[in-house]
Amino acid sequence: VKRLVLAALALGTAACAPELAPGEWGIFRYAGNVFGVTPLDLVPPISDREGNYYLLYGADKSPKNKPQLFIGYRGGVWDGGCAVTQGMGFGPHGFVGRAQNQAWYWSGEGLVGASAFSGGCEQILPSDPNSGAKLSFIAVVPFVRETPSKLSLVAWVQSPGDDRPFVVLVDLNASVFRSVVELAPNTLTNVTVLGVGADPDTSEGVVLFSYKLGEQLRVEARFYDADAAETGRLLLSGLDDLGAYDIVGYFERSTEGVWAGLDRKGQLLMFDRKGGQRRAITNFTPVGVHRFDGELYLVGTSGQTPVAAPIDPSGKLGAPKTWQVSVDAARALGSTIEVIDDRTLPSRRTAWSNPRTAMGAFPFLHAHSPHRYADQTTLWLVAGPTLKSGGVDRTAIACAPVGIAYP
Amino acid sequence: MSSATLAFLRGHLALWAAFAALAWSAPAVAQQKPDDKIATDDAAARAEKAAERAEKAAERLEKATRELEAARAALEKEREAKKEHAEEERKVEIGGYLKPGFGFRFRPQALPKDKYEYGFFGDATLEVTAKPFKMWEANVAVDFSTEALRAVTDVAIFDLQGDGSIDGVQFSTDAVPGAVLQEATVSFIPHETVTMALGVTRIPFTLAQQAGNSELMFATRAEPNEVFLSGSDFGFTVTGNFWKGRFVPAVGVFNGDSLGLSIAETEARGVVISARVDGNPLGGFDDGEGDYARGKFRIGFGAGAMVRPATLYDKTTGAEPHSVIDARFSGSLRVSVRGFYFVAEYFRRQQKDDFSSRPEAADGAYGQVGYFFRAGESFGLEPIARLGFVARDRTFETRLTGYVDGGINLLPVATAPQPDDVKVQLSYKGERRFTEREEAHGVLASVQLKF
Repeated sequence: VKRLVLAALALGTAACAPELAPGEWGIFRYAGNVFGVTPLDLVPPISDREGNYYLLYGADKSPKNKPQLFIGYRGGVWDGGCAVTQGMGFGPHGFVGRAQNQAWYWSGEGLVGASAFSGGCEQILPSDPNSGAKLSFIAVVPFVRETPSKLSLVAWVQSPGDDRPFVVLVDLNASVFRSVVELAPNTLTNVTVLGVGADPDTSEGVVLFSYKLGEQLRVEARFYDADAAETGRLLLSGLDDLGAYDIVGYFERSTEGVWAGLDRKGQLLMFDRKGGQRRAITNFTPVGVHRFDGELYLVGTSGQTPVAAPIDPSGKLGAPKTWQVSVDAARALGSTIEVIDDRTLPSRRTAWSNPRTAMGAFPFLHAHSPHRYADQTTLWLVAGPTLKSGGVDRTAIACAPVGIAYP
Repeated sequence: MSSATLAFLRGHLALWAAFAALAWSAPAVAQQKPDDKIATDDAAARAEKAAERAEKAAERLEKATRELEAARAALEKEREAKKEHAEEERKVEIGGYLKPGFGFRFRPQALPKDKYEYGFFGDATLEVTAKPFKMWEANVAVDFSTEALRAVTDVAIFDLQGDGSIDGVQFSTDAVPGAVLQEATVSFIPHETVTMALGVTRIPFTLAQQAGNSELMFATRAEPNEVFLSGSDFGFTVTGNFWKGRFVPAVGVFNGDSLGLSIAETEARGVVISARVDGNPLGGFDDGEGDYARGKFRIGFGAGAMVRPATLYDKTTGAEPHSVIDARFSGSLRVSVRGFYFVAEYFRRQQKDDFSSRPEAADGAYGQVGYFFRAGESFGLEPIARLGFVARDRTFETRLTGYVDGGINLLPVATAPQPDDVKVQLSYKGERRFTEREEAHGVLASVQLKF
């Protein structure tokens, strides 16, 4: 009886604690092969609520290769044939949300839905249902609202004949616009989106954009709720040098309402509803702003070491600290890993020598926040052997859960 | 007449037969001495007396024989009566309930077509209980509902790439009327304290699950209970009932198909082991929810556990075995006194596997209260209220849902042995999705008639 009680207690406490210690890797699953060598143009993988994996290849502003989406089903088997995008000026911006057994990504000017239920992907509203005109999703707030009655997100769409974009609420179930409002005022021209962000906790979204009002260039942030209703505007100065999609990754929001994002020039931009600031980072090389378990961090490298600097809820940037868990995760890969090749079943086990992070210099270092896969656990990609095929490098990638913590 | 009586009569009969034999032998002994006159006279007298005794013995023998015959006849009659009674016991009872009603639901955040929903609904259960032999019992309960099953009502193909080739198929499902087997068991009851049942039955994991559909205080079981366990399952249970319901343990083994463990495109193999213990120190509770007997003060504590160690296999290849363990726990408190009935239950579910590194956990609880009283000679009232919550996906992105229910039960035949045989219910059901910021409000009116 005592043994049974102890076993029950152990089971109970085990389920409350994360399965993986920080820096510890779970099972590596062979997702497929992608063009290039490490660091590869990949977005940190995400999962849906059922635990299916979604991997997105193809980096922002790198139109040399088509994006490629991989779906790793929880019970095994991968789909890797999805390459939907729109507009060749740039590649995938990143994932914009997930639901029970679906995920959505924004690539170029296209919004694409991927489903682990039906298997495959589908471009959402590539054309205007009324006029048939081609639609460009020039901004997508990266948050999918999933409720019993709705599956929706907020976006800006524009067709070639429109002077200004329209703010829309996209019903992802029915593939229709639930709300369409032209961006006001009607005197603004040359709208260019610089970056987007969302806070799933408050369902708030933001779009940072520049426009011309007469001959004057302005930069403004507009805030939206989950119904695409505008909840605020903020004019920002000193951002005239930023171009389209120059915010890497997405804006992340602190619990006190401060938005933080990193631009391509390595400067940290922070603002709330009242004002903002842009500051250069001099003591380390920033890579991106992360939000994990409600806390914000500016991550990067200092020399050959990954570092993370906390951003407190009021927007104050702390001193960078060595990101030991990232170092530990890199070390834990060792010289060889065992990978399950379950692209088709029955699966096979294979060994990869020289395993390394497929993205960035160290595990977890990316412009995008790592996805919260489970308590203190994220998903990351590891690169395996690189083969030349027709003169082109193709690298094998595997996805695995890994314990994560920030300094 | 019993067999003991018959044996006693048989003994008497043998004794009288011995006396008679002895009496008939006496004259023969006397004839052996003819020369002795005195002796002859004496012998004649003895013979005469012996003859008289023999005659009496014969009479007694005849009487005993008649009594024996009568006893035999009585015994035969008794056997016939027993046989008839046994035949009477081989009876079949048919019962059940009907519960038609009307519902209205308002969802402020829903799409226009879903914002206001209303309509009539119907639910009926037919129950058959048979006791063909001593210690053996069979139970069948079939639930007929207007929304019993989900069926594929539409199939659409879609072209993802716009290249004319079919990339996938989308199914639409909808609720359709149908019949669901709620219970189908064969029970062996070797003693009044032990029942063994085999077949389709609800897993006795929670108090709400143990109550029959017609014995619920509300129109439905508490939502948290339905999240953690719903429907019936194939299995075998052994249930005890000791000291008049003061200690009620139950253990069982089930297929586990009702637990919803399987992952898409996988098939789970593994049985569910369940156990539940209820301790009611002041006496057992009536079946079901509520205190319609308005009994004395009782309090009960209970705990349940279910464990399913299973192996998942890929449906297509039949390979890829993965180990999964699904463990669920429940705890309960019940109080009942003079028509007042309170129950609170807590649930927890944990699932772990050997491949995903993502344990799944959910918590839930509810508390409900009702007070039954008579408002007239035969009319009863029972105000009812319930609160509950469920927290799903605790390990990666918690979704919290709260429930508020309230209403009143009108019992127009409250003097019947079961006051809730006819129950008119008016109730409010509220659901608040805290995480998704969505809510729903519903009103239900139903009539339940048990027969």
